[in-house]
Amino acid sequence: MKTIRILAVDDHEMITTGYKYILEAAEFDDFKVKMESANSYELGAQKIMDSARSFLFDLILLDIQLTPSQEKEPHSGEELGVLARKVVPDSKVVFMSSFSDNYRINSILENVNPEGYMVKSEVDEKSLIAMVKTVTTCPPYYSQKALVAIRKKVANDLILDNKDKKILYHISIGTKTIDIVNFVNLSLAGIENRKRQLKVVFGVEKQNDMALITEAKNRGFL
Amino acid sequence: MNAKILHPFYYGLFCLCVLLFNGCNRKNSLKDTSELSNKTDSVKIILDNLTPKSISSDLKKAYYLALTEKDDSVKSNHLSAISYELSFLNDSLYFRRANKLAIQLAKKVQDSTALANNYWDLASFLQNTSLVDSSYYYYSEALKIFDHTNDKFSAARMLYNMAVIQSNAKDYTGSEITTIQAIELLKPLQKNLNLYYCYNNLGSVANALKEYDKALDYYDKSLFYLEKHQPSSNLKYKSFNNTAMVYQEMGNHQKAISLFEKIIHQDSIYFKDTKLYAVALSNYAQSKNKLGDTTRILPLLQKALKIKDSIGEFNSLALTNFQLSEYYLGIKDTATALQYALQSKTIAKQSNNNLRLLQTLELISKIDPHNSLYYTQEYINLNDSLQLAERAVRNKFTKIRFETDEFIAQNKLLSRQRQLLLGISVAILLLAGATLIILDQRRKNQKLRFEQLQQQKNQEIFNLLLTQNQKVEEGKQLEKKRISEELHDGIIGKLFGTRLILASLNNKTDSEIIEKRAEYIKSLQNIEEEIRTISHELNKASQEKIHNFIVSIEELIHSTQESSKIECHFQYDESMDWDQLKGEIKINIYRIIQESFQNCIKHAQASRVELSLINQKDTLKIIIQDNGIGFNTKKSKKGIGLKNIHSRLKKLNGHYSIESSVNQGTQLTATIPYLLD
Repeated sequence: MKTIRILAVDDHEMITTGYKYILEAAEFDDFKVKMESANSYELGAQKIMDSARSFLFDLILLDIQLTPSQEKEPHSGEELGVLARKVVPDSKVVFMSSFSDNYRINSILENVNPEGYMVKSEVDEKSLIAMVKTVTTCPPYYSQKALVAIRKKVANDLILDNKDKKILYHISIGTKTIDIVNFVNLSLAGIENRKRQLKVVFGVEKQNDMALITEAKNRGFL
Repeated sequence: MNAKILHPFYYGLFCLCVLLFNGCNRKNSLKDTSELSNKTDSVKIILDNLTPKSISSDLKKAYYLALTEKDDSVKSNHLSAISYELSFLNDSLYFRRANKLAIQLAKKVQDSTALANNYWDLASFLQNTSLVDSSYYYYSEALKIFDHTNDKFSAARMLYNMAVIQSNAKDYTGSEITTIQAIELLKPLQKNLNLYYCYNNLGSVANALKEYDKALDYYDKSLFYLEKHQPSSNLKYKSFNNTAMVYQEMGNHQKAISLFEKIIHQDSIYFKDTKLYAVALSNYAQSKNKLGDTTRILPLLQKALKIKDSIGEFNSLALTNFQLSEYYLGIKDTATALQYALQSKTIAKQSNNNLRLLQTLELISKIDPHNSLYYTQEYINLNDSLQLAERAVRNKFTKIRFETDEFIAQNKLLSRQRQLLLGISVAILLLAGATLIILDQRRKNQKLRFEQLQQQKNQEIFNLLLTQNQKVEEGKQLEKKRISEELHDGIIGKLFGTRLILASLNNKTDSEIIEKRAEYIKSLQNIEEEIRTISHELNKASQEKIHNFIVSIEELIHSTQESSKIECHFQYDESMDWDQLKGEIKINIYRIIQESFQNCIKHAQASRVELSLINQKDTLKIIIQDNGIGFNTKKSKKGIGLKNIHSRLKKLNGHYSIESSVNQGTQLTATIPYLLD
């Protein structure tokens, strides 16, 4: 019987242990699962790089938030996804995240184009097994909340570039305009300008940022 | 030499002059005074209803009624009116009484116009009774008043009357000057009739001075003004008579005759002006006589004589007799000539006509050579006495004129001085006003600038407090974010993992698995503990009071310490919520502390400052104590720093006290009543 190798990267060891218990005990039709885990970005990256030179992982499960956000150089699962696509393009990638916001999901879909996306609150024994089955046979697999986000995005004909999306996102999490300069490669005037433009696009001219965020959420950008 | 001047034609002239000034009495001015008293009392009624028949008795009645009047000004008006009416009646007794009283009352009530009018009446009355020097004097008195009250028209009329008197007294030069003064006043007023009289007088004066061309010129001018006044006036013919007399005097009898004829042949002149007719008639005959045309002279002269006799014209009656005498002398009828000459002498003596008398005496001495010596002697005596009298009168006139002129000049000087004084006082007042306004403006500006400065400083502090507030707010925000992330990253992950593991262990029941399950159930307890901790942290963050205001003060102290190396100690009432104070109070306390620190550094040279903020019931106490050099509170003046503190405390209804003495340090205590925000 074939064995499928799965790498789970999550900073909470308990979670990877949970995956391991469920998937290794699960009974699949024609394969068995062998789990490996990494509890940090560095370890995850190392294992992915190593797999390129030895045995490839059939499936890589990535958490997005891998380090406490206060750290100076936060690394995310998204970067690992990009890395995996680059060095092990044959390995399938599925994101397992507690982020259910449209911005994150769509950003990942765009940058990594993973074989699946599961919102952690929707993960249980059944869905986890179903995900492995689907992804190994005919991907992709999206959990319910991820699907909603994708659908909203698809239904929208608005084209916002990366910077716009970042600005929207930062506004939504309460970052001050003056501090957005640190996250987006634009001058303060440039950001102000884009904000004004965004308000025009979303039809909330001359209203406050709150209105902009509400509208962006409704349309699936956040 | 006087004999030469005394020519017969003067009599004709003088008659006219008398005629002329009679028409020149005050009429309009009187109406005003009588209307002044609204009281329809009996005096007024009598005066309003005068009839020519009973005028004399009515006026007497009015006079006695007026005497009973108690109000002096009303009485003055009444008497003034009565004396005016009386002046026409030649009733010298009553006029004199009324006029005297009227003058006294006018003086008493200080009614200068009434006084002047009363003088005028008196002068006019005296003129009629030949007391010319007194008349002249009263005219000049009236003139003074009119000049003072700036009544130019009346002043001019006084001058004219004076000129006439001067002319009659043979003060021709004086008369000329006075008349010209009158004309100067009248011209701008365009009183054409009065100008006519004035030029007429100038004409007769020039004639008397034998300046015939000038005389003709003046008569021409007088006629010009008469034309302007009333072209159809009968006065024209009187002027013709005067002009003709000049020609007669010049020896141009042809012209004189043609003018006389114009008068005589004037339609119904006899009825209109009998006197003029008679005068012209006899003058006409005279001119004819001089031309040697003696044919129809006698009937003319006799006709004139008859008319003059019938109307009692004694002045010119003597003249006609004189002319008849000359006529008979011309045809060598000495007896008849003497008869008329003697007649003329008698009439002249009766009518007190000294000039005529002189001429007649001269004529008689020619007609009657036997008694020539006697008449010549009489002539010389009379002439001498007349000359003396005239000289005396002229001297008097000159004196009076001089006094009047002096008075007027003084008036002008006084009024100029008054104007100057007024001008200076107005200028000083304006200057003072301007200075006051400028000073006030400057004071206001200064106040405004001071307030602006304070406002600006308040704004700075306000901004400072605001920034402080913002920082605190940011801190809070950061803490919230941290907690949220802790929940998200830590707790959710752990719960999720535990859920997955327990789910996977759910199906199995071997002892190893049961042990594992127990382990993860225990880990749920750890998560509980973690959540409790976060919850505690949240609670703590919300409960923690950050004293914004106090932080600002602490920063102030810190920066003061940094910049001046002064040791600062700060203590405050921690039970009090300082941020709840009104913004205004916070700002001003901050400023007061700042100001005091400046004083400690700049003036006190202190090395240590203690600041205390104390809450006492409803008042705050700020105590700032230093260990500097101190000062004598009684001697020293308040500096700008203390003034600022004072003005700030005044706004907050607070007050302050300073305790200090030399080398003992200084303690400033400010007390402020407060209300919480």
